[in-house]
Amino acid sequence: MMENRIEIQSLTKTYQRNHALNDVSLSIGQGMFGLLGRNGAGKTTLLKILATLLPKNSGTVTVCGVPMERAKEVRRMVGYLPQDFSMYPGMTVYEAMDYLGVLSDLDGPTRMKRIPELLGRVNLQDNSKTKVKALSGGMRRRLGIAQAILHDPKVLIVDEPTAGLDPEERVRFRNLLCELAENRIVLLSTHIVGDIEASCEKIAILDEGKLLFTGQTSELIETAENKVFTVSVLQKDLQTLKDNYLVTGMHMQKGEVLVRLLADDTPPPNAVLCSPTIEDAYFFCMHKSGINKQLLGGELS
Amino acid sequence: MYISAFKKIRTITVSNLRHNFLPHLILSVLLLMTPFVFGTANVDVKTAAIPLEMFVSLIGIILITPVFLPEQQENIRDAVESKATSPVGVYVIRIGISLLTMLSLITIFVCYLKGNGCAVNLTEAVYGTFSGGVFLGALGLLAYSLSRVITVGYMVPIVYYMLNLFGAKIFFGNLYLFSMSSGSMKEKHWLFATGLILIAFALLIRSKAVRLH
Amino acid sequence: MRNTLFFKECRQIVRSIPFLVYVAVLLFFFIAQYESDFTKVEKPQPGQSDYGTKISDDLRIIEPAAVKSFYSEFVRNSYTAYPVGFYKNVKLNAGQQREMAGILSELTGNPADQITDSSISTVKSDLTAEQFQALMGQADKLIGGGSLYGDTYLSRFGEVSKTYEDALKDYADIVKKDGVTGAYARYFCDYLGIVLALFPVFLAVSSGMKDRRTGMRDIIYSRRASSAKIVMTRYTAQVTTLFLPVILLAAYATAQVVTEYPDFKLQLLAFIGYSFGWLLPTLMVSASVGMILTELTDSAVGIVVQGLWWFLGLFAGVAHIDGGYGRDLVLRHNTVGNTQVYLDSFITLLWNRIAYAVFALILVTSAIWVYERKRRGKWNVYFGFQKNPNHHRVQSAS
Repeated sequence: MMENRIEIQSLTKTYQRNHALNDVSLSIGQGMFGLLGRNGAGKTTLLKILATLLPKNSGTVTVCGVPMERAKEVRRMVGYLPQDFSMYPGMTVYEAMDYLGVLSDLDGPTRMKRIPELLGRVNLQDNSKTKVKALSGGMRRRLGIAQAILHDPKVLIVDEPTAGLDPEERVRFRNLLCELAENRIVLLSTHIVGDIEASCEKIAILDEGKLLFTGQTSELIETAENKVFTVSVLQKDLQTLKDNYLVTGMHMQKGEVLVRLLADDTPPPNAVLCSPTIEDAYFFCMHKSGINKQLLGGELS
Repeated sequence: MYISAFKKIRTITVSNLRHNFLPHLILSVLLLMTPFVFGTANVDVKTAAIPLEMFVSLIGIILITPVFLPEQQENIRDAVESKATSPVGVYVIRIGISLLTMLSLITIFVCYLKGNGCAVNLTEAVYGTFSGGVFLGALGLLAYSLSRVITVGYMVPIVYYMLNLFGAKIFFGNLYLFSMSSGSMKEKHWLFATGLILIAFALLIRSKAVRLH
Repeated sequence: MRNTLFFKECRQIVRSIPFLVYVAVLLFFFIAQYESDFTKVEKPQPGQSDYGTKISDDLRIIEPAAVKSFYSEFVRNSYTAYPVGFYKNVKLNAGQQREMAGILSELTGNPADQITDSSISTVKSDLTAEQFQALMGQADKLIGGGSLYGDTYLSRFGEVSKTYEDALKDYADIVKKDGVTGAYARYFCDYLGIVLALFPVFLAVSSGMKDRRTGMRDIIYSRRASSAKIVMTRYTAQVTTLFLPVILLAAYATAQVVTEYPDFKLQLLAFIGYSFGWLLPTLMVSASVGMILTELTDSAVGIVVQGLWWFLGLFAGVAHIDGGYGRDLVLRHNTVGNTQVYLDSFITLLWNRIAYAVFALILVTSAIWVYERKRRGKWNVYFGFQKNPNHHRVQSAS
């Protein structure tokens, strides 16, 4: 039986002399796989190559044993939810699903059975006659997920699915993706660490087209063990702290600032050791790769 | 579970007609309802060719140039083009719809001229006008596929049209737009063939453009 | 100053493909139409074989020529007309032909039932000018307008050869009243006006759709600048960048005339002045039509509307191609000279240009209003007016 895996070997993609992807090798199996990185890291490029929307310059990619070059076969196995999904504005939700179902080579009876099921699953069953142009961002995103799995693909690729959603929507989306990951490969690209934390066992970190880390999330967290501290300082000492350490978070507390930071060698005086989170480990990994701490700030973008 | 080719083509055709084609069709019909400005009664072959070449063939720009326009937003294009069906197949269907519509509208107009006592040869008049429309539309389609700006897509054929109107015939040789009104059909074959080639180029660029970014 | 919104807009425009195409077409028209036809106006000499033609308003010339043409068309029942500049052939029904016979009868003094006689009738001697004008007007109305007997074309029956004195007067007008440059400036404006009536709409549409195309719209909507500032700045930037090449060509054309006429007293600012007064309102209208229709519809329909207006106007303008102006958006004056026609129709021209400039500003004001409503979510292109902004943002399903 063919194993559900995506195998990527030495993948390179260049745009106008810039490496969007530089010698990336990954092996992605069943379940949720997180792709983490800053904007411009190459995540979308990688996903689009897997969705056969972009050609590669070199390297090999196989999806469930099928090489990328057999694009039509790959497309039958892959469902893609692009960033900020949309469809022709004048179509209703049902019409959009039906049209995309036809493009996915599904026959009438299959579409008639699956579309209502999927709309129910993403809670759009009451909006089947709503036009795409009238949908809110969250509803369009849900329609996007529904159309991505309409043809029951073995691989689901989602590009930044929770960006811009309110907290309730975000949680619902993550839960849905987890359910879908039970019997398929779900490749989730995001710059929101919370998405990874909630659902991914395995992750990869990309930056400027290079793979900085791939492995279990627990392994990533281990790399930041004994490196994460919290310390309370006066406002006036904050800048000195920032100059000497990688600050990953701070909040005001009775006139003082409680700072969370990463320290490779000597921590600041009175610092308290903490257990690292994925976010800490991510920052640590980026910092180790030479990214200027000023660029990391408290956010990943 | 898999749809037959015939049903697929039929569904894609109907869907595109309803959602992507209607405004352009309405615009073309409205445009053609202004024959009052021209001499469309009892004129000879050459005079009848004037409204056909100078006016009716412009519907080629309206019907062919925007064939790729529904996917102008990248997110829509990504959603549609990541499916098993080749996007080029869908574009070919749309171009087919545009060409058939153009042919029908031109035929109706020529029949109207004939009914009004104009001395027109039906086949020649339809073919001559159609060729001009195909060429102009193809220019626009290619311009849009290269620039990805629809204004440029409309601009290029209109500029070509203007140059033909105000420039010397000699500059355009076999691709002169208004030869029928001076009794020559030779240029129409060139316009038609070149138009089809330009459409093919546009499809090629478009299919590669998905990968170019 | 370089970072102001105005300069940023200008920079964006001049780097765009539509602008480059516009400049290329403008250059083409200047070189292929204006410059290629550039000839020095020489002082007429006595004894020349041909001094050109002029239109005489002498009814003794016009009436017989008009009646002869009228009779010939009546007998064939085939009347030429140019209702909007395009040739049209009109055939009348029996009742209308009877009325035409009646008109001819009153013109010639012959009974109506003898009008079909092959003898060519002459104008009756006691026909007054008013009667003639009235009868011609009736005939024009029967044909449906735009005929050879209406106001527009009737005067052409008065075409006669110019005498040496006529040619000398025209030359004197060009030298003294136009300062030479004025005469060429009108010819310059004649050709460039054709480009300026159409191409600005492409830039306006492209610019208007760009925010939507690049997904910038919500970002720009949320900025502090007022809608009036944003829209007016955009419009001014479009008009300025489009007008700049015109001014440069005007300067070049001035230099050209200066080198050809070194010993003449020239109006050095004529080209520039004509560019502002004659061409700028045309440009303003084309840009404003593109702007308002793009704001209203979020589509390129402005190109079709302005294109149609341009197309029809181009051919309608043939009626006064050598001056006269009327209500045309593109003012034609396809000859170097005809100074007296220009001077006689100057008031018409002035009102025409003022009216179009005002019209353009009204359209821009409307565009500001639509923009503001869209910004506040009160105008959705797909839904039209909405009382409750964002009413379609339903709550996420639980």
